[in-house]
Amino acid sequence: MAIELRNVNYIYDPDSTLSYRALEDINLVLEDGVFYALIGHTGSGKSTLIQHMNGLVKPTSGQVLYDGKDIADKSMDLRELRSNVGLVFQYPEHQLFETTVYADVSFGPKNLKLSKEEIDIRVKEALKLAGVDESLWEVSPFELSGGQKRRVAIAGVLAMKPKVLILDEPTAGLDPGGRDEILNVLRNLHDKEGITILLVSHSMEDVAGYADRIIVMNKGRIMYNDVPDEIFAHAEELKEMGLSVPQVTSVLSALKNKGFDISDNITKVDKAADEIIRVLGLENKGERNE
Amino acid sequence: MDSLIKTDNLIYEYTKRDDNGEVIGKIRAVDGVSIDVKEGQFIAILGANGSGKSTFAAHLNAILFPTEGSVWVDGKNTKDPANLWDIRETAGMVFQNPDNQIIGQIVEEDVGFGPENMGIPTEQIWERVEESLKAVGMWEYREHSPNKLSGGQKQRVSIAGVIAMHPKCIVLDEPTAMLDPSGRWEVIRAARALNDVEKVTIILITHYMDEVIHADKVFVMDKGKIAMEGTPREIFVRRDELKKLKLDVPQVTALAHELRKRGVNVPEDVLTPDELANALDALKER
Amino acid sequence: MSDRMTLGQYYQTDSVLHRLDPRVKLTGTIVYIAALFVADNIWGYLLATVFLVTAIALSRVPVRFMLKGMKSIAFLIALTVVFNLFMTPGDILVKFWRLAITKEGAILATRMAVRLIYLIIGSNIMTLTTTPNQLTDGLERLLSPLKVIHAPVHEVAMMMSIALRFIPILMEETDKIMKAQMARGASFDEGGLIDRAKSLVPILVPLFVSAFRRAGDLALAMEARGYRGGDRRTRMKPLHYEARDYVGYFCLVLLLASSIVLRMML
Repeated sequence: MAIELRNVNYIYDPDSTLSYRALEDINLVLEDGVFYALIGHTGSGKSTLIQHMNGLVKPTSGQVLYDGKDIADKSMDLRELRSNVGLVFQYPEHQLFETTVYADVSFGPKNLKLSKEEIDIRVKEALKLAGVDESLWEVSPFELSGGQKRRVAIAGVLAMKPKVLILDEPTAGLDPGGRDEILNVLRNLHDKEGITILLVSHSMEDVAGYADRIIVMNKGRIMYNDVPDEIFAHAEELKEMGLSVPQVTSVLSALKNKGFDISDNITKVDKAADEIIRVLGLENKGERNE
Repeated sequence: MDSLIKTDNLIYEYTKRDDNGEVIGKIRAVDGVSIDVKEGQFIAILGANGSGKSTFAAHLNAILFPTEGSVWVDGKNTKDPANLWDIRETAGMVFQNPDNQIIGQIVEEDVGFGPENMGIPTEQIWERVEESLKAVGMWEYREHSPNKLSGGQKQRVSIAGVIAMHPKCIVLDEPTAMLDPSGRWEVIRAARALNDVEKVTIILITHYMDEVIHADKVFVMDKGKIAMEGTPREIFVRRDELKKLKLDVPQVTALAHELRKRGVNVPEDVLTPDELANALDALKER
Repeated sequence: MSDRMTLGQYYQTDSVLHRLDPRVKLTGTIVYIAALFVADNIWGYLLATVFLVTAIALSRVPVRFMLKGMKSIAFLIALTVVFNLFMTPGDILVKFWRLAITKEGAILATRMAVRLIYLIIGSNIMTLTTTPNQLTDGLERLLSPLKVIHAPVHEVAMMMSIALRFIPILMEETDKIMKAQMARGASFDEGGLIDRAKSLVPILVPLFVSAFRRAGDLALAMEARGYRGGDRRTRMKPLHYEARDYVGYFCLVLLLASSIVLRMML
């Protein structure tokens, strides 16, 4: 297992009148090579949770383990931890600062005190993996479009060669085309490079198509941790938490309510179409025109 | 119905310079757009990032001025400097980043900012602030600091700040791009309510397809031009074209499309899950 | 981060001091500071103490809350006391090794400490009971005679109030930027002075880029809402004096007069 959280609690500003409990008794294991999605309403504790995983935030009580080792341990090299557990924040504007894309991506490996040759290899590899076109490598990162900036920010973390990659809302504000490009980069990293992914998102529809497992948070607690189809069987509870279910799931639920004998824990368009056709008994009527 | 906003072959070009300030070339961000918005309409302008939709929107509030062509707001040409402040009072504008458009340090003071600039007498400012905050459901928060509000609440305050100027039209320039789904719905509901109840003309700029299903008319922009135009139903059946423009249809429309492809006779222009479920239900009964 | 600053923060409650016109409070702070410096005997300080205690009581801000704000400047006060205690020549009271405390030094140190603490608590009461907006409004009105000589009074007040609104936002942003760079292995407490200064570049560049962007956005938003400088603007919350404000001014005149009298008489 890559990351484990044991009984983690986190309280903001414990001494002040503004203190509140951001995380409550979190127990979570992230296994190697799995594509996870973390979903929750704003303020549910998602961002606080992921910042525990690379030691940016320390738990008020409880333990965070990487590779079986407590990260609060004195022998823990935080820089090494942060290169193993890469964290990409929501706004690329918060990290881009260099004069060229190439220089910006080399910031991470430089901090790891690697040799020039090694840095060069890593930067180029990371830029390719993140799908940043070579023509952009010498361009200022500030001149890029929103989607390109995101990819450069992801490359900046990939250059640290993380085993786990955590991304906070990487598709927020992007148009559907830009969103698909980023999600495909992530799928590629998971499938081809074997990187464990934790994708934080608001969008159930995006997540349903990509994640192996979905973790749902609400008010600082983990509510569900399961495969997508099982998660969306809890449509009513999800709605109460201010989360939406994919539209296809809503269609199936509506049909179920109308008395159809149909399963409503389906999240993808083609599978939903299969199910509807099965239930309507249209399959053998020869009405297909393709 | 009267025409409230009209553009005629609007072209906007800007010059691109390199680091030394030398001109590299001209970029045409808006390329020959002609639209006509009637009073009371809810208009949506869709487009991928970089399609020119926000540049176009900035012309409707006289923030940018056309390189060629003209813009009329309530019959006034934006080119005439004498019309500037009238135009800004007629067409209010809400921007993308909720933090960067709230000026006041208390919600009610921010909403009063526009009327103060217009020289409205004090008692009337208070009336306007009250009615505007109530219209977006933020009246209980009037004494709060904007910093403590959620993104959706901040955007509703921004909308109230515009309504307090009593505009005939509100241009919302990607007001939901930085919000989570529940914040997005708060904003869209507020905009729809203003349109339904107060008959304020709304122009919504966005790239989220599910936000435009209630619009009277949708314009899709690409490379500075109007690429498609029609009702949401007319637009969403052209799924392949939308995909090419880096846009998508709501998932339920995609499902209807898939079902039709496999021979299930559902309408191709469904917009909501209930609509599709009802259509399927009707099929079974037959 | 911003939540921890209590010095100079507005404390929301309803009290006479909260309702007092900001112009009275601004003038009051100046008069009070003047009285502190006029005082040169125990009676003068007693008068200032009475005034301060009354103000604290009237403000209805918990004393605990006020003292918490003092923590951040405790070091400054300690430093002043130590300097005055050991550096003032005069009759030696106690002597350790080469450091001597003189009688004059002890008196001066006490006096400086009292002045400093009173001064900070006093101005703190003003900011605790006055919203930043009222403060800038009050300042603008108090300084409005300067408009005759074309001083940009309105513009300066507007700048102040915008700065106050954006400080918490930019502080939060700094925190996020630091974390984003730390996630890429940056550290800000390694190496010599030059290394540390260099390590700030990855924070300052995104911060400045963002601040400029925000400034541009805000200017646009203000223009779109019809802002065109201070002329012709009306006020949602215009300042006008009530009976209590005149009482306030009367108390201030009394304070100033009595502290002068106390200095001259005794």
